[in-house]
Amino acid sequence: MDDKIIVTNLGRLKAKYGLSGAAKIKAAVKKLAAADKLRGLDTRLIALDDAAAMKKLKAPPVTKAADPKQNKEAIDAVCKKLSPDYLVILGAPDVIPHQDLKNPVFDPPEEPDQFALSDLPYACEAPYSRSPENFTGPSRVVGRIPDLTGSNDPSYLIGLLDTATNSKSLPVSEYLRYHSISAKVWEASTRLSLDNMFGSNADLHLSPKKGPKWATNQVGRRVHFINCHGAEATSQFFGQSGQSFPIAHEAKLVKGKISEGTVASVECCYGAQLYDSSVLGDGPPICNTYLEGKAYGFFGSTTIAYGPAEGNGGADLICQFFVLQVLGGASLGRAALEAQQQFIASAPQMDPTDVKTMAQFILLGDPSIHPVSVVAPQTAIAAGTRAGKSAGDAVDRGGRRQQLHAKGMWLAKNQPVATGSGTKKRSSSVDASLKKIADKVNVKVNRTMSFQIKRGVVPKSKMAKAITPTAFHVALGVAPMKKARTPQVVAVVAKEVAGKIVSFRALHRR
Amino acid sequence: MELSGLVIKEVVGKGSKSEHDAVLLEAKDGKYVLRRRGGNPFKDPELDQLVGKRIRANGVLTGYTFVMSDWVEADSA
Repeated sequence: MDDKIIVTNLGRLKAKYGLSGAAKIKAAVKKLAAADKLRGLDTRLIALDDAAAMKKLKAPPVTKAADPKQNKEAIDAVCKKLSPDYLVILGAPDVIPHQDLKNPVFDPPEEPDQFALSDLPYACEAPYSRSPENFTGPSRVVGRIPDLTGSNDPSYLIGLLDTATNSKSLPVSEYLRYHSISAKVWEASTRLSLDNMFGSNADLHLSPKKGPKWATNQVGRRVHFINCHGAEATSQFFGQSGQSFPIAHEAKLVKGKISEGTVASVECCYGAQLYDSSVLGDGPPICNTYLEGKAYGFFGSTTIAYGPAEGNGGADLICQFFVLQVLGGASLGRAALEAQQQFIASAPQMDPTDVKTMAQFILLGDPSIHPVSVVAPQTAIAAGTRAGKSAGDAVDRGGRRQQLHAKGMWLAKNQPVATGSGTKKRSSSVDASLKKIADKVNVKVNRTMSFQIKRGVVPKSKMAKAITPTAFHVALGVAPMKKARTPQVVAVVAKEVAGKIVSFRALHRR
Repeated sequence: MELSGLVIKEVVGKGSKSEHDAVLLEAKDGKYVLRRRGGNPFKDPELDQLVGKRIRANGVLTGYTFVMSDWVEADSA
């Protein structure tokens, strides 16, 4: 039985690193599999482009490495055949691509992400599609161990595999002291997140004025929670106060300073973007730098992320759900899956920005690593032996996977979610209501997108038509710049019930 | 690669965690967020000075961001 499947594209690895480099990577995978064996996991490497190997699994081989559909279908078939407890994607998107889910709020240049690049579909049984609302039922434990996009030196990836090989669980006390950085304008939101995770926000650092040179006893803590600005293809994160955007954190200052076993949960836009830095002359992306520094996991966003200025929502929620699962002893992959499921289930109806959030957050790192050690609730027979412990762990893990699968299937079937391309027709009264809201929150609206809501079958007894939302409207607009220090509202997500706007959510400049 | 066009300023990433007034290059085939290599993507006074001018720039296109290594104003090109 295969507990952990590592999928890659051997042809792409050979193209990047040559035969010798690819052989070294395979040797590093073998070492990881041997270490996993001692941890009670049977691990197998599968090359999605190996036609013979894929035929044995009744799976279609990948013939075009960059084709998301082929990769999705190949991985689905492998998972169907082997039902692994952990799925590892080995390589950056130029080895195995992200899925190119359409960004529901794409509106260039204001919202320039055409796709919410995603690994979420690899965690779902739903067939290939570019519609993110089809992937509300993740049920597989997935993580990506990336190499460097565009690189020709295999040592980076071999280093990451060695980190996974040598990984060790530590007492939770090692993960209760955190390093947190927030843009000053998002202070209230970040303090709330920290309270939710750690019961205290005393160790929060605000930018400005703190950073980017962090002391070793700050950046050396094992949980990093970062709520700053990020930008496409940059290895830095930025703070904000008014019109000042200082550097808050940067890859070159992380290198060599973080502790082995660090787990980073990063809300920043593009925090987990695996861009090709070789053509920019800027050093590797910050997510790659964390992993190179022996971080066990980096949970972040591939694209522009969303969240309110006050309270928690969007990126705030999914990132703290992830940390809470890690602190509770979950493997990194299960923490990511449970965070996704919890985020999806937390919205009575997922609006278009929720849909993008769900799609864009990915786990980088070996999903089978348990950063925090927990005492097993049952004592295995023959607990004193490795085989006995492994058998007990496997039984518990199998039970958890069944629960997660059932929950994923339920969410896929029932979770109400915004759908469509934003072109749903609006009544004049809805337009009038949206204008009133925009005036109230001081937004000059440039464009409004409207979405219908897809939902599962609801029992008649629970179906009160009068209070069932029928549409979401997203108004993107410009808030006049003021000297005020508070963030300016620039987007409104409104909920419609039977032709009337009943509530709205204001997304603030952050 | 080389791109040329008019430098403008617009809001990008509205309502998101990276929303800001960005400097863009309005080229023949579309608008690209403009950044100097090593420059701050959210506030770069040197880029601000180019707003309203036509430039010809060398750099790298990554997604929708054009990271330029050098440029000349079109009038002086």
